[in-house]
Amino acid sequence: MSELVSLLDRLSQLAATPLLVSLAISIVFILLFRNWRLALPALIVQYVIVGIMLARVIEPGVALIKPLAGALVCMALSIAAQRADDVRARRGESVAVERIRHVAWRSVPAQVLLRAIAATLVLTAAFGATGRFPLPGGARELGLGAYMLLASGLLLIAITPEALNIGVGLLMFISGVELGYTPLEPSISVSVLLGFMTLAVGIAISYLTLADGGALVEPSRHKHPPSDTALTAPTQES
Amino acid sequence: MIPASLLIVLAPIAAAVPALLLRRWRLLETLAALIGCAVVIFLLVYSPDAPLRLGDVIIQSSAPLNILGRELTVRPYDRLPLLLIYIVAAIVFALGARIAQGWTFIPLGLGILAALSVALMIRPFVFAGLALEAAAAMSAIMIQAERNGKGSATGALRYLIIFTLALPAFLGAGYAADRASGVADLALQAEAYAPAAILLCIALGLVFGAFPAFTWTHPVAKDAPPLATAFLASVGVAAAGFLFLGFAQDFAWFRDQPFVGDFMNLLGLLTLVLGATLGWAQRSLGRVLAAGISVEVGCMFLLLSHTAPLTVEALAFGTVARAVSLGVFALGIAMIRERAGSDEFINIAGQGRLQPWAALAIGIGGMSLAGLPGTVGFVSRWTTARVIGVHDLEALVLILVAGASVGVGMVRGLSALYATVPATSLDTEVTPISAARPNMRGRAALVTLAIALIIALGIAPGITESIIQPISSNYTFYK
Repeated sequence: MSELVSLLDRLSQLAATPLLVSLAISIVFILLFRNWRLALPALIVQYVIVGIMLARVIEPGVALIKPLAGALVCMALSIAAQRADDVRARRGESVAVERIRHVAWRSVPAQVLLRAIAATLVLTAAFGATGRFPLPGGARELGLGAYMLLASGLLLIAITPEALNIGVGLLMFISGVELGYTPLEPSISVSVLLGFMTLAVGIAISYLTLADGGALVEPSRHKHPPSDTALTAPTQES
Repeated sequence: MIPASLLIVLAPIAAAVPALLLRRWRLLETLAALIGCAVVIFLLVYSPDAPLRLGDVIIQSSAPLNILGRELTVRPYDRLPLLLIYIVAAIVFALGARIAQGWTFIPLGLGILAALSVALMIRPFVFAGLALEAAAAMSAIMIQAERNGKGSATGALRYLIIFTLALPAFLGAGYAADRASGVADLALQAEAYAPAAILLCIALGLVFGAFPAFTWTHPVAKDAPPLATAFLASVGVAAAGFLFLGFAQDFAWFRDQPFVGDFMNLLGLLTLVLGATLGWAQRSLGRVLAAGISVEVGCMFLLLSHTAPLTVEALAFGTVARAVSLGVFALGIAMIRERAGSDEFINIAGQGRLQPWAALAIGIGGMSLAGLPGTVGFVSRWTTARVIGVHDLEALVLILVAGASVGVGMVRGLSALYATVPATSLDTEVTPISAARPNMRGRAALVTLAIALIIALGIAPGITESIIQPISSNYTFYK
């Protein structure tokens, strides 16, 4: 653990620009590619970058909480997404790995282009906001990172229908809040509580990802319909 | 010496464990939840000032509990609101004793109670935002319960998104208040504190589900098990309301900002208009419930925009009325959903004759939500009218119209329940979807008790006086 802390400490002394560029790349990657097999590794990388940026204003040992919590959340999300994919595969629907192996090249340019334009607009707006409405705390590079994460998190929440991607947007939004707030109150308790918050939201999103993929209760295991039919959502729109 | 705040947080969590283990036996699960709530209620009743001695253990109500440098204390004005919240939670849990609401309902409901208790007790207040976010994460799972399928998580995600959006507003308010405290010039202080007050208003507006354009009430009422919706709309909204009163009590900069009352008034009017516009036109019972929640939240906002002893009394009584009315209405919807597989008006024809107890619960619960005389809802509306009517007759008319709109929605639901069953569906309609045979006697007894409570509180609201009046007198900010 001490090696990790000292590594984070050394990385935090890097110039701000490479960190911000890496953060922007991870954000664009997540916004462009909704496939969880691509988005979740990018999210882990993003958590590491956020951890390094936090280590510039708080103790590296405390900043380490963020990447650790993020890695745990990504692990839980990937397990949930894999299970949902297993159920989808049994139903004969397309799953993440299939979409990577057999890319539908005809539809890709239109989708990616639209998202790329939205991502560019959002990142430009974040850059403009950093200059015009600088966040308090004096750490300008953290302010830019916070704006980028907040704006792109909101964009992802607004434009995706899947529970997993909305969840990734929420987690990016929380990372943005953390980058913006930590310089204002650089205490252990805030970092611990925000790390706990990331874990709690991550667990909730994992559960919702399972539900969205139809993997909470597998129908084949039930000979009879479940008795909790009071839970059934109204299925027919009048 | 043990601080009471520690036990208030730990008791529901401790009760959640047996509730989770006993989830197959619904009565025992409910009993575990009721015992958890009863322990906290006992603590809050018997340890107001002097230490409570239980053998060698001394429990001190006012003793602070320090967690990571943050202080959790039961302040004098927080004690009875906490008591009320646990009573209300116990009522909603008890209503779920005979109908399945998913494994998540009681264990996570208890967890949410613990998180909301932390939100009310913790200082500095920015950490209340973190506690509310933790409660929202648990609420999202409770809303989803055991439902599966693409798009089924809309309500849960909406709830989680809204509470997450409120988080930076809470944190920002804390920072802004901290910065403003350094301003020595009295003339500049109000201006310095304004951003903090604005951010707090936005955070609370989001938590209440007030913004008509992006509210959690409708998606949650559509997707969640009905009693889970009732739990969040009664317990969660009550906690947010008392949090607002706690801020007004603690911070002169918050209560003295003139725009806070105006902002609450605007949110209240918008939310009431939403309820009034949508209530009568809904085509499912779940959405009528959502419109009822909008009307209740709108009334609460209008009350929060005033500062008078009667306001706090109306708020406190409204908390009880909301829990009972929404709970009974939701119980009826849950029974209908269980058998018909839906609560859309088009799919529930004839269910009223098959399930008269469910129809009765919907009828009486809906009457109370609409504020009809003889029900607890009427008393709540009457006290609200006494506060609002003095200053704002238009708002009073809007409240009455919104209540009537929900009433029309309820009558349309009842008409659908007693509609003639189409001949083509006669064969399928009598087959219950549920494989388990419901315990009708138990449900009938539960509905009877709940309706008796609605009427008893409607006829003799003074029963609650021993809690409601002290809540009002403990807040001193309006004196």
